[in-house]
Amino acid sequence: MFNVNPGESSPIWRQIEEGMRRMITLGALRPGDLVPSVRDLALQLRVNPNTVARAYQRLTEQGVFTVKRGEGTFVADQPSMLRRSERNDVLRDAAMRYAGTAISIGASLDDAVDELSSSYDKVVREHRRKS
Amino acid sequence: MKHLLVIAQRDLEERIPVFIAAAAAAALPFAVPLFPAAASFTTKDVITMSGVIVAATFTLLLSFALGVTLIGRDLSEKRMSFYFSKPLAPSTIWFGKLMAAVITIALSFVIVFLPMYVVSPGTWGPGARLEVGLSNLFPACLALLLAGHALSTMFRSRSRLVVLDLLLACAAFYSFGLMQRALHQGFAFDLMQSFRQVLAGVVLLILTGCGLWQLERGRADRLRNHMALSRSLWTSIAIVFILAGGFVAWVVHPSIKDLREPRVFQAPRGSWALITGQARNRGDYRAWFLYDAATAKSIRLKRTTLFHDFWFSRDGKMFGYLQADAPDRDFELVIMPLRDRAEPIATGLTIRHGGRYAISDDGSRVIVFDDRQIASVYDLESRKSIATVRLPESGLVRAFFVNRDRVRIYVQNMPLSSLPVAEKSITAYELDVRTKSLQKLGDYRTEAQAIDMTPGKAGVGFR
Amino acid sequence: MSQAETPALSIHELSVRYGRSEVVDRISLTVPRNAVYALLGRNGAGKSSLVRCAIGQQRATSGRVEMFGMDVWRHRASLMERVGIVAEEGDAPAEMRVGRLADFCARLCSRWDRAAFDERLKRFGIAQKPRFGDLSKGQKKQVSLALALAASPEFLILDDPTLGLDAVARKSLFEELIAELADRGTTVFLTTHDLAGIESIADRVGVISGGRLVLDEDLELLKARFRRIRFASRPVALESRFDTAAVRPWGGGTEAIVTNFAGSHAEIAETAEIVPMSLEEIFIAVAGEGAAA
Repeated sequence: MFNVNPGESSPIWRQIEEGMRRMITLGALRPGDLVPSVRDLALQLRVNPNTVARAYQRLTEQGVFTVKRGEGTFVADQPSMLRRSERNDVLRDAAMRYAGTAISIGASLDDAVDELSSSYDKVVREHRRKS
Repeated sequence: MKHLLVIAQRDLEERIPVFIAAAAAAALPFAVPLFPAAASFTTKDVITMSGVIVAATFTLLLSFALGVTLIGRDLSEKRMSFYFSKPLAPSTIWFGKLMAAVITIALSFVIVFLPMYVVSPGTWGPGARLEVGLSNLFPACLALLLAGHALSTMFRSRSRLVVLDLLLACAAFYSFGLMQRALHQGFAFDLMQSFRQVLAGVVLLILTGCGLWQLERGRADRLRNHMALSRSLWTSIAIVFILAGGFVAWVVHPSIKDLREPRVFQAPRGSWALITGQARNRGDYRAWFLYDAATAKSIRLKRTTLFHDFWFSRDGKMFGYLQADAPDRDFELVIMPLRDRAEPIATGLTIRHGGRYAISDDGSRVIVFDDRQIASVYDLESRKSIATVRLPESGLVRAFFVNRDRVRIYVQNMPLSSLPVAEKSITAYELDVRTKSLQKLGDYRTEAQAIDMTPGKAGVGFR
Repeated sequence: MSQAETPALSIHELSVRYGRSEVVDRISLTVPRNAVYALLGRNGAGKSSLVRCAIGQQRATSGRVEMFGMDVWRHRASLMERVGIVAEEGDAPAEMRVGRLADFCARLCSRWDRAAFDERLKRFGIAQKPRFGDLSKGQKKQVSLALALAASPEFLILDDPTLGLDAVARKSLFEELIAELADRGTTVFLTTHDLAGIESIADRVGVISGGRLVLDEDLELLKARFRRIRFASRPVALESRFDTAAVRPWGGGTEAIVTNFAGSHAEIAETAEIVPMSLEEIFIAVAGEGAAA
């Protein structure tokens, strides 16, 4: 699973949403898999169940999750991940922030790219390990 | 109400140590006969006596202790909020706790009293006395319970308001004392007792009601409980005392027409008479009036004695009586000229209760006889004693002033035997005030059953 | 208003005065159904008085307090059927054993789940035999919470629920709370000093300072608009571009606590460091230094 950090600028529901998407992207959650119930995820993350419910609702509306009455919430058979343009926007936002931080501390582009590369690997490994 | 029983049961569960203590106390009377000091009494009597004392003391102390902790402890330990966070009405809380307290008291009393009573009824005997004792004990317990609660609320709030409470309590007691004294001056002992009991009962009801009110208004807060209690308590007491005061004021102002079976004492001459009797609808409150049959005018005599220590002059123009602030104090002689618009004249002379006296017709001189056969003549204007003599014999004394300088004194010897047919003798003397000499005039003997002397113009009549 | 619309708690222009000092000064706030409202405030700011008025145990000097649309002072007894209260100090009778306490409460509440109470107590690791007075402060709180939840309340009011709790107990408490929220959608109103703990749980946050409600806002929106912005040098017309709660020198430059940060300000990221603020930092900025106990 993933953790949420209330100290981040991103609201918790969005962190949950992104966390779920990450897990699907990395294969930790496969199409048709049962997703943790709102209650369980709320207990695990120690957040308000309404927050989890909100994230789940968005994911359901976006076609990432499907709800089967009486059975629970599942990853959709063909989860529609972000369209390419949306994905690029999200990447650009995060990249701008990262670039800004790197520049402000005086790091070179090479250093920044190296660090980015190793961090990407690390996140993938952690996700594989946790799920 | 089901919740009421839940509250009561909870409180009672906590009281087990009390019942254990009661059981221990029940054993005490049986230990008392073992003391050497009790050897001079029969065992049964000792057990009974000490049993009654132990039971009464234990129950009374318990009542006060329960009152103090009833709500007060929860308030000061900030635990009332527990009850107020439940779906409980203040009346449920209050009456539930009261019920538990009353049951605790009753049960404890039975525990302490019963063993002794069953084993050793002793001199008190079963039945009669027990009811009297219980009927006094349980109201006292209730009073201590409620008083303990009120005091606990007032003191535990640690507010200066308690000073006001104490002042008002003193004022209440003082007012009560005034009302009782007013009734006392009319010798209304039965009425005083009824008055006391009714007032006590009303005050207990007020305390019960105010306990409920304080919880309703003050809830879990110490200070607000105190404020609500004080406000409701003193307002209610004020209203009740005003009504009681009104009642007492009405009682102590009867008119002569209100007298039931009045006794009339006519002056030897003239139209004046002393009329006394108990007033209708006023219990045993007694009033005295001077009444002029010629003008139908009546004068109320206040604060006078119960006994007929009054005196009419032979010409029916002077009246003397004894007055005191309270019937158990010494009396002052007061002279009332019997004419229109007369004011009573306080002589400043103190006469002991039961002392005999006579006044001269013009109201200038008084002779007083004390119980040691000493007769003193006083001049009322100068308030000085002008003659003092000692009577040779003791006995019942009657006297009258022939004129302001000569007093005729009759002494009725009381025979040692109290047989009614015994012979009675009366000795007559005359006292000359100017020469301060006592002259024996003669003896009379009679076998009359009762002798009463009424001085007439020329002499004295016997009956 | 329909059932779903009347707020669980509605406070309108509440004032509480002790003698001459105004402890609560015209506070209005609303706790909608199913929401979690956290009231923050320093000691002595008026929180306790407000809570006492909210639960019908103190009469306000002026103003209105309504729960589910009913005046709390007048209808307290019937409202307490639907409300669970966990007091700041364990106020149950000290001589009562925990099990007897549960029996007592069971007989007063129409809905009572003894099994749930027993399970919770097991989860907390508290036996039913000890007397309430012998429990630690934290354990008393846990028992009080278990008692409150066993009655399946629609509305849960907690006064500083984590005070006296160690880390494990605190975690337990939040888990119970979250489970309750998930299972029953209970409305929650709590006062706290544990800002980190409730940061992920509260929907709405209120800050009381000096008797006034200086903040009453959706937590998410609050956190979205507060930022700590660090400039290398003090920018020109800082105050005209932003609403600031504080501006102070930072190293050679300036740090400003901005209260109206919006997406449109993101461009500043090129020349300044923008740091999000935790609830605790926001509270300190709003209510003063040394605020979070």
